[in-house]
Amino acid sequence: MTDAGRAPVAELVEMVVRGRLSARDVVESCLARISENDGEIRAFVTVEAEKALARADEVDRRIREDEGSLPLAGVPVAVKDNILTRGLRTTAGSRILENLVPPHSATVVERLEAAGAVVVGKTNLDEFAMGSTTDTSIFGPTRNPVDTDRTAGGSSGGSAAAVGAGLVPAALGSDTGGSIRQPAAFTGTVGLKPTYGRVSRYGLVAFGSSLDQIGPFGRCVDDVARVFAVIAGHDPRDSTSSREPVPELGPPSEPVNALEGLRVGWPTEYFAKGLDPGVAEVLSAVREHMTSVGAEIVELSLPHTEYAIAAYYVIAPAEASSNLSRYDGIRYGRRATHADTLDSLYLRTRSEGFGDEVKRRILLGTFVLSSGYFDAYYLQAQRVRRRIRDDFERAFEAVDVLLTPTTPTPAFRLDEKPSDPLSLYLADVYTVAPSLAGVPALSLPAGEAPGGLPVGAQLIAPWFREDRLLAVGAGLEAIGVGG
Amino acid sequence: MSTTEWEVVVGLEVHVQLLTEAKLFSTQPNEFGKDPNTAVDDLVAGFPGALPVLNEEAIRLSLVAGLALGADPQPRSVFERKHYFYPDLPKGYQISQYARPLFLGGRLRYRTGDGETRTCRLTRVHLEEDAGKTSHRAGESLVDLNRAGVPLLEIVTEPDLRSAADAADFLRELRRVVRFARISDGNMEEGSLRCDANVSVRRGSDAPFGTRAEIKNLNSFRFVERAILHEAERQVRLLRRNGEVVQETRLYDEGRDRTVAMRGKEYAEDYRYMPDPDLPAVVLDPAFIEEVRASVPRSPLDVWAEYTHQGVPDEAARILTDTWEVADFFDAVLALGADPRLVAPLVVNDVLPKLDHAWEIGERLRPDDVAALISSLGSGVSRSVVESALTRLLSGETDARRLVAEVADGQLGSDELDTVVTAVLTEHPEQVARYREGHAKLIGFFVGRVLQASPAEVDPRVAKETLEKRLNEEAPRRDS
Repeated sequence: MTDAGRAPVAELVEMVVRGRLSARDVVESCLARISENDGEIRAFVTVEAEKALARADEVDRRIREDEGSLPLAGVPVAVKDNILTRGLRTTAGSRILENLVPPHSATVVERLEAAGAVVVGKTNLDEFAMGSTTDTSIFGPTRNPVDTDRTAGGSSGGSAAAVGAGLVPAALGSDTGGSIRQPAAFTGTVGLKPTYGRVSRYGLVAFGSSLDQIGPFGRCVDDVARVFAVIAGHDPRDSTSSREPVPELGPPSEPVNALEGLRVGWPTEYFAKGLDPGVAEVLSAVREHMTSVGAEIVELSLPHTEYAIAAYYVIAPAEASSNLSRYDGIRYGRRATHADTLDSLYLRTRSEGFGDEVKRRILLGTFVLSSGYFDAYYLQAQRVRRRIRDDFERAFEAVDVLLTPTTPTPAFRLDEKPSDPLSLYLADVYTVAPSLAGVPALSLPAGEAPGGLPVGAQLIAPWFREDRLLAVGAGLEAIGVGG
Repeated sequence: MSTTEWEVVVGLEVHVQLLTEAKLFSTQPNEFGKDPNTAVDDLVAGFPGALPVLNEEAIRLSLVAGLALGADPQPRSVFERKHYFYPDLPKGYQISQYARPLFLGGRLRYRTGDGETRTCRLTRVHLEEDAGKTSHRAGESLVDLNRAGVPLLEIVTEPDLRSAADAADFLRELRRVVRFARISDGNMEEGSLRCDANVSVRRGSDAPFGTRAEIKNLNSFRFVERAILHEAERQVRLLRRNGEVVQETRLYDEGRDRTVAMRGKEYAEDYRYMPDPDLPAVVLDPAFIEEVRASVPRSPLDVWAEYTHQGVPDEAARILTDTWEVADFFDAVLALGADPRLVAPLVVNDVLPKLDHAWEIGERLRPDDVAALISSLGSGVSRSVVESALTRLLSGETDARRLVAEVADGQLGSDELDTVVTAVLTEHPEQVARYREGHAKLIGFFVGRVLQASPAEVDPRVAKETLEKRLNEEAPRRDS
């Protein structure tokens, strides 16, 4: 049987649609791979084989009865466990939701299933997507398939590892300040954070609502493009979802053409101190490679970059503290026992239900929204956010895309995880600014650091120009960048 | 204790439930009286992943109300989250407006009990969602989320009101305005209209404002008046003893008829307002504002003035303008040429007391039927015939002219009545004699006999009139 986990999505769909392979075959082999290999990696937190196979049979029936086009026919997909899946437990990695079985699916899941994809399971994440190692999950950390002593990154570490290990061809993650791009970089996979508003957030367990975006992981740019094409587009159930039309994303016949004459911005702030020399070297090689095929590298400045982390760690926790207010144990989820007053019910439910990192962010967020501090922190952070957005707007007057490292270092060892939260936060330095600006960004494998660890390059495009990111990404693959 | 030397200063925050089909951010129905928790979806229940989508109808209704109140629609307003924990607040925050409300300013003219017309300025008008309801009984608390997410318009006044009665008069006029604007039923018993009152007192009208206390959740006109009265008296008592009024939230205890302070913790709340990132700003297109402005209904106070100008007594005009349905009905009857001075008492004294709700009038009666009743009265048909016909109209029969004729037919004609009366008088010569000697009370006896002896229905008043006429005018027969 064809190894569906290793075949590009396009080939897999072709085989399933032509009847050379049934969706059931594909899903069965995928489930077998998961049960064989995931014990060590622990990418998945929930796999329900029977449900997945029933879904696969439904796809096979739709193919037999010729029920319209199925652009993802039979493609097994892993879904991050903060995206609601009807009938399939959705925990957000938190004790407080450990037994939540949603009555409906997120828009993205509905769209994937309508396109013929089969959700095979839910993947690990940091609790409520707050973290960069999946270490804050109640299920414990996911391990990097490249080196199982190392982190797969986070918060979408489970999805990245599932794709990196070849357990599934594609997966969904969510990205608030780098939660798709950083684990993609750490696991040597491709991850896309779409423009804010491009993909519906309906059914995504909210963390930072003005930043959260769902996006795909894949092993190559084309796989990512195909999943993105299915999940993108306006959703009337999400008031922040954009009506901007999604352009055709067919694979270019000559991907390398996308690079010729391309103006590539090289923001100097992203190559300053703190950047691991191994990562810097890989990026320089990419730069030379691009120049050699006719791209023009333009060094430029995004002057407010240094304030991005501070602004992000005000805005995201503020929104998180608000979004997590609903978890009170009254209507669903875990409720503390032995509470004899309303206050103690709240106190115990939330004390027992949330982990330390989530509590830290609720405290931070509550503080910055408090009367007397709101202006100095929250409003000030919003002002910084506008400046950062202006930086990008100005940069895109001069260049077509920006090229940066995705992370300052490759994946670190799980036992070397920094103990103070601040240095973990600082590692988000390259991913949070595009999140604050709302621009789309793609992380793709750009090479290896000494020791064979994957290094990710981040491409950033203007708002709603995912098509450009994907074309340039395909071009880089075509000239052999990253592999 | 008298408060005469003290001036009471009141500002109100009035919450008006909008008559939208669906909730403010959910497609669940906005309907009072459903079984508990049957108007609930993922958003109303605060489920993870649920997102609010603004109901445009609520914006339109708010706009009608705001324009009717002379408020300034803001080109851009923002929904914010107001945070607190309570079991009937499913998201842990209420979506409201704070720094940028839908409207600023506005004013409302109203009549006081003494017949004076005053104006109260409005500070702002904003849109928010209602919370659910918690009821407590022995050992358990029950939450009903049907009301959660229902659109509420909050109307905040300046501290322009000067007494408890003044506040109640203002509130009554405000209710007429929201009813005339057809944005709310203004029903206080069902909670469609609720009120918080900010009360302070000062020595005379030139003194600076005193410290205010806020009385929450007043749900009847009487309670609004009682609560303000008692709170003002409490503050005066306190100040007379050189005490100090504390800025705090109080509740009106209906049973003990006084206000009591809420627990410290409940009002020391920091709501941590934050713009709601799930909702874009509300941008009002000037063309849309003008379109809605054209549909803003007349003010009930203007209608009142018009009626009184047409000769309708003040109080009757007030009752006619309590709901737009009655005013519209009244107008429709007048449009058929009926005399307002005749229609008003019929509607106020005969029709409205027979209805469960005044607003039903248009569903229960046709204006042309009422006009026909009025014209019957004018052509000499007795009141009792008209009243009987009205009762039959209200119980679902149609065609007032036919009913009047039928009722009149069913009653004894005046010739036949004369015959009966003659017979009764002839049968009871002793009683006739005693009546004529001054025993006027015997009239009841005769009326009873006439009613008994009559082969058809007789209006007792008519029987009495006929009897009296005969007994008083005719020469004693004994002499002849």
